[in-house]
Amino acid sequence: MILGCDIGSSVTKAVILQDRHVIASLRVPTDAHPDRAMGRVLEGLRERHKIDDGDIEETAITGWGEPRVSLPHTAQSVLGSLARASQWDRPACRAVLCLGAQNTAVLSVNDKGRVMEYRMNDKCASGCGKFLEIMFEALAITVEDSAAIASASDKRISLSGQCAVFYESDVVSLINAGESVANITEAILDAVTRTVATLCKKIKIADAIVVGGGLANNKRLLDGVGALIQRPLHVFGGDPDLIGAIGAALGAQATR
Amino acid sequence: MNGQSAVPTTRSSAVEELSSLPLRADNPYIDAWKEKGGKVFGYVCSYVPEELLHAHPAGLLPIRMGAVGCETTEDADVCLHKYICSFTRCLLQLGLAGEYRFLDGFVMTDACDQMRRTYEYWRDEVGLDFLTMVTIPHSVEGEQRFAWYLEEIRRLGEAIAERYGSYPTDDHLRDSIATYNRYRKLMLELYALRAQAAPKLTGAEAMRIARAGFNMPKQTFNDRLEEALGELAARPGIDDSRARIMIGGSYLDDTYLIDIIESTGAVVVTDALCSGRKYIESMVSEDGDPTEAIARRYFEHTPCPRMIGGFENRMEFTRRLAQEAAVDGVIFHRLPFCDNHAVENAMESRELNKLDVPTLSLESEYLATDEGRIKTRVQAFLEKIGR
Repeated sequence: MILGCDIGSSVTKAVILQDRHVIASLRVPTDAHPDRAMGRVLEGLRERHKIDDGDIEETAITGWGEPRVSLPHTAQSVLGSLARASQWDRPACRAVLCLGAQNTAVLSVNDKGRVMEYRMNDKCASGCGKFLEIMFEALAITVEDSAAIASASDKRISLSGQCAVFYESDVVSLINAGESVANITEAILDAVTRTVATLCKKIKIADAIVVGGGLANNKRLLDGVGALIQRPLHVFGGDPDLIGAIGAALGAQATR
Repeated sequence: MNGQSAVPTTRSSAVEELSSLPLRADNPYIDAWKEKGGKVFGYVCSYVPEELLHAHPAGLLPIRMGAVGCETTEDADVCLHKYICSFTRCLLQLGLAGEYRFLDGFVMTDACDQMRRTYEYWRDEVGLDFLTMVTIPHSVEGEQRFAWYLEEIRRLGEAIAERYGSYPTDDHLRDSIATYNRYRKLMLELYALRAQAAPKLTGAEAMRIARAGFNMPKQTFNDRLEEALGELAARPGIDDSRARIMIGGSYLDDTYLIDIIESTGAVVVTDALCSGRKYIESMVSEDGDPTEAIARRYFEHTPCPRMIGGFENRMEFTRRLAQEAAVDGVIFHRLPFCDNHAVENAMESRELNKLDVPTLSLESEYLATDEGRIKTRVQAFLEKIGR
């Protein structure tokens, strides 16, 4: 059994991989403490999945929190993990898009699963999951419900801000102007869609893209990006949020 | 080709036509020009000598490019970082989206670093029959710098001649000079109608008319503007405005900001914009070598804040306009990351405040949508100045 973990800035995702199959998965809040998050992961495995620490042959970790974990582990790169997991899920795909809380990454892979080209968002997280959370908080809706809410919009509004702070001021203006929640939600998702599409256009993508990360289930976002870049988008099989954790575990297995 | 443009005119009034001229592919004047076999050349910077283009015997229609109507920059953002001026990105977006496909040529300058960085994308991604870069000295003091600029202007004329045949004759150049001087004179008359105690038109109307001037053959525009001036003079003036405002800044061809200001009851009566009054003032001398006379006017017009020195000159210009139009306050606009104008606005504000002219500095993207934020600031400004 290999434990693969992806310590993201807001959520830590973990999977147990056996013979390249996911036999258990769980998620715990990171709360800015990767070490404590790892403790919660092991506890969860014991309690919910009856997997003891001793059953785990190797622990592979990727993501933002990896360097701060004291538990012995092998470190796996974020992009390498995404590439491997995408090949595991859809061997014919040559590109991956990962929509995380503070990172958006897009990369292309060759037929051996190696990363060819990649782009990530800048330091600024506007257009990522956390950004959407903050924007939608102002509208008192959730990221999960946003696509359905946006589908009721009846007017196109564009947002100009290039950073989250300016976007927020745009949104507050719209709320005060009496604009409907559906229309504002659509405008926010449209802005993020365009930011993601721009990132995708920076690399050569031949065909279909595997999409993972916390936002991968947002239909409005995916349909929009697909239409703008004219490529089919496939949501990472099972739970798209686990793409990094699975990729980390696959990386450890490959070197065994 | 330098004659009148044959576009059917069936509209009710010149003011109406000029203030609602469709842009780019929908502009009937550009269509008519191209149909007759003419070339259309675009430019943005006020250091591009339009007369030299206009005078070309092959029939070049110079248009000052803008990006009104741009709704997204997702393709331009692939090329340029979001920390590049949003006007620059919007303009490139329109280029990439094919909105400027009617352009035969684009004359760029290195006056603005941000715009300069789009040169390669216009060359490689948009693709134009003719694209060139005119270099502009970093100061307009001294005859050696003028000689540099003049050489650049001649080189531009020669490059166009090489591609489209023949450098304009002196007669062609003198005709263009006369046309453009008439244009400037008529536009100053339009400003005079705004400066009256009861302005004859709003700032938004004035900007739309000026924008038509960027996008029409100048002879035709001059004739229509002359009619429009007559129509405007016969109108009742606006005598119930809450405040008389002047706006300053760099390139502004969208009425977005003026619409917000005027929605509070104020009227924008004049401007110190690169795309406004600064573009209009200063005539070309009708004596001497015409190329040199043209170069002289562009070299010596109110300098761009990117020049080393020239602040006194610009300040004098702003002061004179504020006085001429009896403004109650000045609103400076700047596009994010335009450092030259940011510093200029702050320095001019300080000088105006010494003269008890209140000022407000606003920053907004070219593709602005945050109406509420801007309106709050404008309203507070009007209250502060007791209007």
